Amino acid sequence: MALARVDRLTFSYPDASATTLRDVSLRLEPGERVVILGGSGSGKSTLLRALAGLVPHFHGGRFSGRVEVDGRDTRRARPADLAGTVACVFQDPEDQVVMTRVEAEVAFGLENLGTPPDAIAGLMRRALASVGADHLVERRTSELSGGELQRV
Amino acid sequence: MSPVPAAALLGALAAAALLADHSAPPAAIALVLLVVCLRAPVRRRWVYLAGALLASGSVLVLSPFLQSAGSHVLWSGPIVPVLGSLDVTREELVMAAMQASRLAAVSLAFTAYALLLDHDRLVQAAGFARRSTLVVALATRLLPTLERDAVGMLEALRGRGVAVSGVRGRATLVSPLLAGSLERGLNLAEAMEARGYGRPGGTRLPKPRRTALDGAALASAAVVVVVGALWL
Repeated sequence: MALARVDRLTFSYPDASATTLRDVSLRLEPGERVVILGGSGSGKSTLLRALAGLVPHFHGGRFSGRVEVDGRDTRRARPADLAGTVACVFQDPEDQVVMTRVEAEVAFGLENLGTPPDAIAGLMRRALASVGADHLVERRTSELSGGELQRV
Repeated sequence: MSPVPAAALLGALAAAALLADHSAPPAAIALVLLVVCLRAPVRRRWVYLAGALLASGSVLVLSPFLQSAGSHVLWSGPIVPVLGSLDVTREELVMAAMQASRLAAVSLAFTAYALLLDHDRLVQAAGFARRSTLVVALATRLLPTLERDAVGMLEALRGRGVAVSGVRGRATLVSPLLAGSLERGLNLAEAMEARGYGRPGGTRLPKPRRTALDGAALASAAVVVVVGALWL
């Protein structure tokens, strides 16, 4: 089974005159690394938002076609339900930061996914170590550089 | 000290300043809070301190002219339409000092909360009102973020050869800063949803254990409010 499947996806943002994505089809297999290239405004971020369920749930708009992630139709599964399967790093990571300290910031996602409380600290440290950011654990998120924030 | 007792103590000091009937206790509370706020890094504290002191200073200077109370006239000014006579009486000065010191105490309590408390642990400790606490923590973070955005915007303008100076020049930044913060709020909401916020079955990091100092701070907070209501 494909990890993600996009089938004839067409999407326009609310009140937009132009269509952002037109008839896009894509199949992602487990273990694959895929790069999506395109000019500014060509819909790369919108496609990623569709895979995360943020399009159409968060943004609204006109959506046709079908997007499936891990066997779930994104029109039925909300972004919060897909969290844990799909993770996004947006263009400006500073806009994604919820907490003031790195430790709590990483724990925030684990808490939302229902990780057992005693396991959160260990998983948080392991996640930071996997991206070489374990030395940042005590730091304030407002003091991190752009690159450090992306890793967090 | 844990952030919850610290926040309770700061709230109690602000409440005591508001409940006091004389100007000396709020002024003393404001002074204590000012000393506490000076522990924050200079780079972060100056905006908050300048705002708190400017607001309370304005109340001290302007309110005697805007109210009409008391009979011990210290200075007689002209009669201004709408405002009436611009006399300053001893009673008006006393009231102005009290209002200014109350405002200073409340704003400095907020400054200490914003600059010195660990908001993450506050959210973590919130048992029954986690969402509201998270909203307050996010709103508190908005101030330093706005400050950083303003600095970035000033740098960008200078890089394009536009000199921004004076109050009027800086006032032109307000509109783009507000628009930017609204967009930032939307992006944050989107990111929170993508990270599973609001999904049923969420858990929390275990709360840190409460120490004797925390207990003493909570008890002191209660005492401060009672003293403020009954004796100050």
